Amino acid sequence: MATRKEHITFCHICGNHCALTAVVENGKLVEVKAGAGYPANMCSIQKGADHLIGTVNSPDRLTKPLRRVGEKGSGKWEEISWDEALDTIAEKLIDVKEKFGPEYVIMVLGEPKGMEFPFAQRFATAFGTPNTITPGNYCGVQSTEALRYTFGSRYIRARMEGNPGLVTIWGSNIAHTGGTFSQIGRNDLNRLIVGGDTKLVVIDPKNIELWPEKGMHAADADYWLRPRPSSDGILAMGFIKVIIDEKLYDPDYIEKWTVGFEELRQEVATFTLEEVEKLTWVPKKDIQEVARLMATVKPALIGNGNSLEGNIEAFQMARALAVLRGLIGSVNTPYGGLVDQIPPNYYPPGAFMMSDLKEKLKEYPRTPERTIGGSDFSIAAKFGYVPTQALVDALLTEKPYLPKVGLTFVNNPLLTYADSIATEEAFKKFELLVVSELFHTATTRIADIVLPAAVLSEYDGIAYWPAWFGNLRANVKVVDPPGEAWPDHKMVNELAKRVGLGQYFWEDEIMAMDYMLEPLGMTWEYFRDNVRYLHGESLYDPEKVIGYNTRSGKVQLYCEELAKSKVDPLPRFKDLVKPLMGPCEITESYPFIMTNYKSEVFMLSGYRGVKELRIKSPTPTVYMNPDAAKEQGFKDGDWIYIETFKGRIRQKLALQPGMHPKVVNVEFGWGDYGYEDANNNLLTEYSRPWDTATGCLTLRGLACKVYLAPDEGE
Amino acid sequence: MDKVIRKHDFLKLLFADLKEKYHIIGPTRKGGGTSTYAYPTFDDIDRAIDLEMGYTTTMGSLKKLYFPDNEALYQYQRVGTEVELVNLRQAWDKEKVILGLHPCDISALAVLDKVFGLDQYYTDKRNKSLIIGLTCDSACSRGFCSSVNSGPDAQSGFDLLLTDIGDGYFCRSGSERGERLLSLEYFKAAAPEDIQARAKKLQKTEDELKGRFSLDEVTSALAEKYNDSLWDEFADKCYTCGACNMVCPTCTCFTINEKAKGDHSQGKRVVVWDSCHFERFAQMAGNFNLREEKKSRFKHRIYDKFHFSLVRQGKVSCVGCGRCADFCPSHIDIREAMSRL
Ligand code: SF4
Ligand code: SF4
Ligand code: SF4
Repeated sequence: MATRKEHITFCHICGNHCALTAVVENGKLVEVKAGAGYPANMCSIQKGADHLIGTVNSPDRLTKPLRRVGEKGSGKWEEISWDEALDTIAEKLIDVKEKFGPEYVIMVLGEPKGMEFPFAQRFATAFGTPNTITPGNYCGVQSTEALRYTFGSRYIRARMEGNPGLVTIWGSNIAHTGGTFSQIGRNDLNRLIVGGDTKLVVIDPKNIELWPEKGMHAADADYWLRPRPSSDGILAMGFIKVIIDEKLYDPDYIEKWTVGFEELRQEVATFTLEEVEKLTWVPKKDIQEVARLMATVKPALIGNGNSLEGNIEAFQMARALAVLRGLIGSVNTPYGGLVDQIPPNYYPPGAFMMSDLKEKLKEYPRTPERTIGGSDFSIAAKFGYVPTQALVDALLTEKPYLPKVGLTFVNNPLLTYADSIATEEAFKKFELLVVSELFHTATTRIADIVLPAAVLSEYDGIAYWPAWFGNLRANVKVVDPPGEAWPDHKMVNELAKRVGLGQYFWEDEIMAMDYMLEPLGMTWEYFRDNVRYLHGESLYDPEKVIGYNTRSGKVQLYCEELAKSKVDPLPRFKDLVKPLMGPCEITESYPFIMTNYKSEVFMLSGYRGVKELRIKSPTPTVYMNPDAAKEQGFKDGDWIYIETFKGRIRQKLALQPGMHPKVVNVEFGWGDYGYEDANNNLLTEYSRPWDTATGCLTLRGLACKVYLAPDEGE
Repeated sequence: MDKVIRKHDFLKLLFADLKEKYHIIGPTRKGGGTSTYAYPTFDDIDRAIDLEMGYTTTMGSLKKLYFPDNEALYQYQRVGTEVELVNLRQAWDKEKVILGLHPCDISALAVLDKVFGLDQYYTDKRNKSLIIGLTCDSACSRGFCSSVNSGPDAQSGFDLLLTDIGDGYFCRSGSERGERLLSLEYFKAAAPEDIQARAKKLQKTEDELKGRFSLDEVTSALAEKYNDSLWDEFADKCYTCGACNMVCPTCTCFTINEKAKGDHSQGKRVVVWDSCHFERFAQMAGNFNLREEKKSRFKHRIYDKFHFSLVRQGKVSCVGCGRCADFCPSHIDIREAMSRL
């Protein structure tokens, strides 16, 4: 008789992390729907379901460890056993550590999925390398650290239950790629939209779908502002200027609960709204009207996505948004739309990498001298990551030294790092490049050893990411991994044993999960079977301002501590215009501005070969305004080249009425399983200038030109 | 009248002729990467190659064309001490042809007609529409049209009805306008084997749909089981997201919201699709809520489709398109709910 079993687990595909019900029949995953009884927003195009079903059932999964037999990049492999793979890697690690030092081994990480991130960080600490590369330099750190420096917490979330009167969605495709850093749930937003008492402002170059089932777009919001890509910091300063000049703030609150208002006031006197309009392309009238709404409608909240974190002033841009939130009193006040929360009490990744390994950190400190990128990135260093391009730079320039081994866990630098050509050249210089993956990718192609990874739902794991959402989820095993695929954290655990670090790791991974949950007084088994999901506890108080966990106890409009990290304590207009200069300046040869968007179907660059997803998104798509396209002689559906000073790519044109005529919005993440020439990182540059605080670099806002490309019959 | 047209002639000749006179709407996925086109959707068609006639279902239905969400009714504006009103509703300047509408969706238009038949803008748009329907090649995953008499064949509500018979379309006219179209030279007389091919196609789809749902059993069950505990079980899985209402071609509830400038010197009144699953839906003045409990809202939608409309209008208002189950995050399927009752 057929067996049918339903499991509750969680989706890891976008920031919503919906609870899922996974239906397994005879050992095969056949259906995925919302996980009744637990929070779910569920994207209308059901990409969480497609990813999970498509991935676990895909015939293209990697199932055995592979060793390169031909030239690097030749795609010739032999299957080897796990023992052989791990012994080979361990031997090399020990050898490099002895001959050169542990820092010559680099951990290359992507967005955390399950437990691989804390395990890899812990391995780095125990082994003695300060070099864990993560995409923190353009994803999450700017926004969340700006909140921490301004309000003393990175756990700040939207108080949707408080029926906000104004919701601003800034640079986040909320219905498809997660509900901003503030967790604006789309179901809640939908109810507000119909309720009619909430004003909605969307700030985005793209006419994003707000409510796909309804066909509602950004253009249907009360305001849709379309700033020039990378000018968002200036726009935020424009709002701040209006609020200060028109005295729309609450003087009592400012006096009692903020520091640095005077400095801020002086800063906004250094520029005019006309300048803001000219630089941002947003009409002055709209800036004024929206600023007035922000300051006067209560509760108001501003939620942003990580698309703002793609330029050389990303941290100050995020600070400008945080300062704006502080100025209108929207955080931690009775009438505010945002509130701090206390996350569940577990050992977060930071504890994994440090708390009980203090003596290791003393032996191998994460100091600038030992770290790639040196002292360049003050906030990145505090956060425990090295920016991606610093690795590329070190490999190419061999400064401060030439790294020897790269251990890459389920991420694809050859498509996702700025400047794919330089990245490939750089990664080929590793003496040993190990890549754990679900499928072959551009990066496995040049690896020496490829390890088959299991995906969440093929093993038990705790999901905590993004840590600033303050929730914890039990991702349960619903099917077996294919062939010999292993979860990444198991790979790290076993490798640690083979390089003599067994005492810092665990007999098996379940014990590590027990350790993670120890402060909660639960074992993994208990959590999985009885709890499943924990969320942060809101600190909201309808009676009073609950205060701020900053050094001053107030909102730090001007933030003293930043000066100590050699970062300006105040976002400055003169700095925020820098992302519009150099290769981002419009010229006669490059008359458009390129920006890029994340796929609404795929998760970033991943899962490109999965047929369920490919059906829904068959071709790379670039958007332009219909009139601008017509002027170039383009028709809807034409293939066009998009070219920056760096290179060109080819994508299929879709017209989007209402888009700014100067903007060309290309799709990020293509390049695996065909369309190598559509890879958006052929347009970007890895070398300096970089955001000195966080290591961000220019991913959006580059000047470009567009022209017809051959249609290859796709 | 019955005729046939070769597919080539359909895409080249008929399309060109239609384009001259009409604005063409049809199923398409032309936008590639964007989620709007992750599923085929009814949209403007400029080029025949963008048409996806082999589609199974769309997420949004055609109701957006006749009863648009977020439609502005009028604008008001303070001028001195006076208030000026401007009508913002717009009539179509060009007639539209709707290509490839499936039988369930054709029936859904009749349901809309009952609700909005008195609205002159609505009727004007309906009069300016030429409906070229298309029968389904195979049953969609969760539809049950044959159980509610809305498919897989259609008897009325179209000007032309196409059936894919391999290298051509079998075309049946359903109106005078349809007849006139069929007199164009590229429509050829239907041979007996064409008629057979059509019947075979429809039989195949009909067979696939068989047994999906029994209307009689359901309507009688509903009459008796208002207080059944099964409702709790379904409601527990409902996220009250309203997706089912939005994608449903026959859900017509709306609210009227005001979109005003910050100082209220100017504003618009807009029609916004509402959802009976939302808590505020049955909120009355005096803070009295008719259906405060999630369960009663969940039940209401089903009773509205299968019970109240039957009692009041003699016909259920569900056309069995299956969208509500397809796009419900919990895949709550009316059929399953009914069969368990
Ligand atoms: S992709 Fe995002 S919205 Fe969709 S199911 Fe997964 S977490 Fe939810
Ligand atoms: S209730 Fe469901 S099946 Fe019936 S018409 Fe509406 S969406 Fe289609
Ligand atoms: S789509 Fe499903 S979950 Fe959403 S309101 Fe309808 S029945 Fe409930």
